[in-house]
Amino acid sequence: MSYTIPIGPYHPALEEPCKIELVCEGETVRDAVVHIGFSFRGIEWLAQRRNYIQNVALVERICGICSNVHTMTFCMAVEKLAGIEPPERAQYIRVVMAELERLHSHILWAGVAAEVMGFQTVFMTCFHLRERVMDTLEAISGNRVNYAMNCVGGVNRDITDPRPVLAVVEEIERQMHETVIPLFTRDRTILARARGIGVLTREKALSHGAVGPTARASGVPQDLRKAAPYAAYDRLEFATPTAEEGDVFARVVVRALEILESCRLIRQALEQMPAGPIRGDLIVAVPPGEATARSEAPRGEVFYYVASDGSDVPARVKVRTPTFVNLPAVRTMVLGASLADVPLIQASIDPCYSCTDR
Amino acid sequence: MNPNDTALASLAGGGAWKQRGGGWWLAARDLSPLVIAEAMAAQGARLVTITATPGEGGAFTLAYHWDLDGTLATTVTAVTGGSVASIVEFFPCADWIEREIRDYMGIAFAGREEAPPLVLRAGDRPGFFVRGEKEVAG
Repeated sequence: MSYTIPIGPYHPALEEPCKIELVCEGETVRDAVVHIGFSFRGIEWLAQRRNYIQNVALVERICGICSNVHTMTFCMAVEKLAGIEPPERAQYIRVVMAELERLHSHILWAGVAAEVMGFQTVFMTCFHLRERVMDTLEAISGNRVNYAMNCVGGVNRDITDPRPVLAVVEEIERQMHETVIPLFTRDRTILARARGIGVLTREKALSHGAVGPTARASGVPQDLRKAAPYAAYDRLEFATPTAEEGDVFARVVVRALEILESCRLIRQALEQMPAGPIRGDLIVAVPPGEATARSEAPRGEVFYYVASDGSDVPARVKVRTPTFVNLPAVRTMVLGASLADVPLIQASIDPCYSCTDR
Repeated sequence: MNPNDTALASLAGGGAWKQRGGGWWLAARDLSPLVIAEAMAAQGARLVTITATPGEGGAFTLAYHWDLDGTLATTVTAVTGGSVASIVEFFPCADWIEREIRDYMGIAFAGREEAPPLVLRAGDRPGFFVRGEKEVAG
């Protein structure tokens, strides 16, 4: 006989609200329904009632982790509309910020995943590392979460001394090689909790339109930084790690390798960054038209559509976040899984409900 | 990838895809989304999302954004009468996208399974974004 178990809106491990109703037979999940909408703030509606400058601050509040990628992508769309090309130095600074944000996001996720697995020591190790990244972000921008770095036409703050950033990058690389990666790939507890669990096949990943590490861990090698480069990514060398297994373990491995690639990107960007201005003139209104922009956020593709009627307030702003397309895939991942594995499977896509609901 | 150099050129009829604003665009106002979706599926496209924009007199435009190996292609369809064909048959990932548009804009998607609200609570009236300012403010 089957029975239904609701998990949420308060998740056992994650800080944000989402609800999943599980239809189980014994301990085995036979069906699942994911409910969202608990963090709805009407961001798109609000964006059509604020000017372009106010909107940069508004979209930064879509997410508490990948806030920078939202402002960057919004600004990229507006820059296309206005025919503006940000200065070269600003393009490199955008890469540094985007990759520091990826480090912050991936390391935080590794800590949360460890906690869900019941491995508090790894949680503490990851959160110590995350704190170092947040200190660096604060040193650059003055803020720990909403960095206010992007503006239409460039960035608001320069990176005048790259040495402290490089020192943190070196520390993260060392800790990843010496501690985090060996623990996540060799520890028996983690292997037992992650291997063969929550499988999303390549076919299902494509059918769900999955993006980011969730897609790449299922053998879909999509990465907008390579496929449709923006900022300074086309001048930097990096790999796109993938895995074929599509399970929780594959998602762990892909993110761990992406942390190392982010370190590589930050180092190159800081070394190659040319001197010069970091932004152009202040823009208050843009010509009529419509434009789109995409970027590779820590969780995958972020998409912005901005339409202008020529005034200082956009006529339409549409935001599509990565979790919005990855979250429906959780239903596929949990079918046939053990009930006890559901919180970890759900966490393995690194969901952001704040982004999803907007 | 230039859609004009692929089988997707046929969607343009006598016209052509135009490059602007961060991708390729096709005004396919009278073309059924089903025809477009079938062509996109055959081309191996990924549906990024759909942008619904309210127009005059209860009309809408739906901009379908597709990823073609890194190239963003957008097809713009007109919606009159409050209903349009669902593309879930070709792109299952359109399920949440269409349900969100129904909740926010009140557009019905025909030819798909009846689905509960995605972002509104059960019993809420669809069309949250297109109600009058006073009504939304409560």
